[in-house]
Amino acid sequence: MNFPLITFAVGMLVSSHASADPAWIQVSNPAELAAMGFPATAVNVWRLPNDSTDPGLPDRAPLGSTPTNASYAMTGEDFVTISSLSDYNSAAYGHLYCPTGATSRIASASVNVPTDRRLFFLDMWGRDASATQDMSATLYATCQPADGAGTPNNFVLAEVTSPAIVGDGDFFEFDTVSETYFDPQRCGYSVNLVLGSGTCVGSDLTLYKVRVVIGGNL
Amino acid sequence: MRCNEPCKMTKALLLAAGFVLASAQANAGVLYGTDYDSYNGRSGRPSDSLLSLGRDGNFGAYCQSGASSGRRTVVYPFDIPDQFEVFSVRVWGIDDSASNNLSYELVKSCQPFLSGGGPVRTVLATAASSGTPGNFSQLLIPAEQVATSSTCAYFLEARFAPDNSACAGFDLRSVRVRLLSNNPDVIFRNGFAP
Repeated sequence: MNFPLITFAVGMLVSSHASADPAWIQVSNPAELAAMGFPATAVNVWRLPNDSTDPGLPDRAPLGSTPTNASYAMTGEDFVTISSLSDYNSAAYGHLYCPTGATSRIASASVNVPTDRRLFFLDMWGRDASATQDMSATLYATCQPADGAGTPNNFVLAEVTSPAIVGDGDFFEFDTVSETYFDPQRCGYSVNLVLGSGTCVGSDLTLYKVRVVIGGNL
Repeated sequence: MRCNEPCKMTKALLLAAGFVLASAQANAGVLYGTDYDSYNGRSGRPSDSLLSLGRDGNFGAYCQSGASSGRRTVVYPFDIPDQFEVFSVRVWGIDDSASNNLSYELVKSCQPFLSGGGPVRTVLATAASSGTPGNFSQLLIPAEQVATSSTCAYFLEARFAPDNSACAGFDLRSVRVRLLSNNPDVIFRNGFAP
């Protein structure tokens, strides 16, 4: 069991300096921050390198659809755009894309699962028929002191990016979450969706669904 | 005092029961059924289509409306199971505005169970950011409240400015909202709760 990871939020917040835990790496590249939807000068974004060999991760392939773990699923209608002035389209199916030519291409959704559940996977379904751009979904924990004011820190828990065009562009991608337990006392959890890297390409980059897979009943 | 055989059995049973209860609560990760629900600021819904919301780098919301008319309030609906106790709502935000404060109202809105009737709005608790610049956090504590979700809806309102008034823009942000509630039926939480 990786104790420093379990207590990451506590350590971060007691000290109010995320750099106190060496496991977390600060995201400081302005271009990367901007691509993630943060101000290029942000100093409160951190990433934990994922360990896909974590023995605690369930092997999902043999399970099929057997619900041995719980899921929290979000469709396009669960997301809110970065500005309520932004244009978007749900394609009448609860999907989400930004219309061709639009410049606002970021949206987010809150994630709420029962306290203390282990976070296992971030899954994304969508359509990427763009030859030049990809879409990504990132699971964040935004943490503050549990019972007082303090600067928020954003922790990247998992990231998925659409692949190059496959067939008609429909894809499924997932990422693993290093050993982390849901702690809504200290942190809020969000999925940040970024539809491409330039002006919007319409339905060529469409979100179908995002799913956070968690541990079952404790 | 000596403990005879029945006394020892009673002690053992009490000890075992204690372990069972303790492990149930430890496994559930909660004490006495308390539970937290956390919402990022941008997940709130504008109460008026004239209210334009933006998002900061922490998933917080700010009002980007100018001096146009309309309400300046964001609503955070709470999904509270019936009979849960509403302990508190904690809010976090940033107030760098000299002119505006972010004010909150925890509200329940109730109607008859099986008949028509206008909603009766009751403000359960209030809080507001202060004039001190920077990060703030406030706690809203209602008087003892057992949720009656069969007849009432519960939500938090965050107001960036009085109705029809100009907003303070990025200087006033609602970053996060956290509801603390309690499941009084903690014994069944581990075995039967979803």
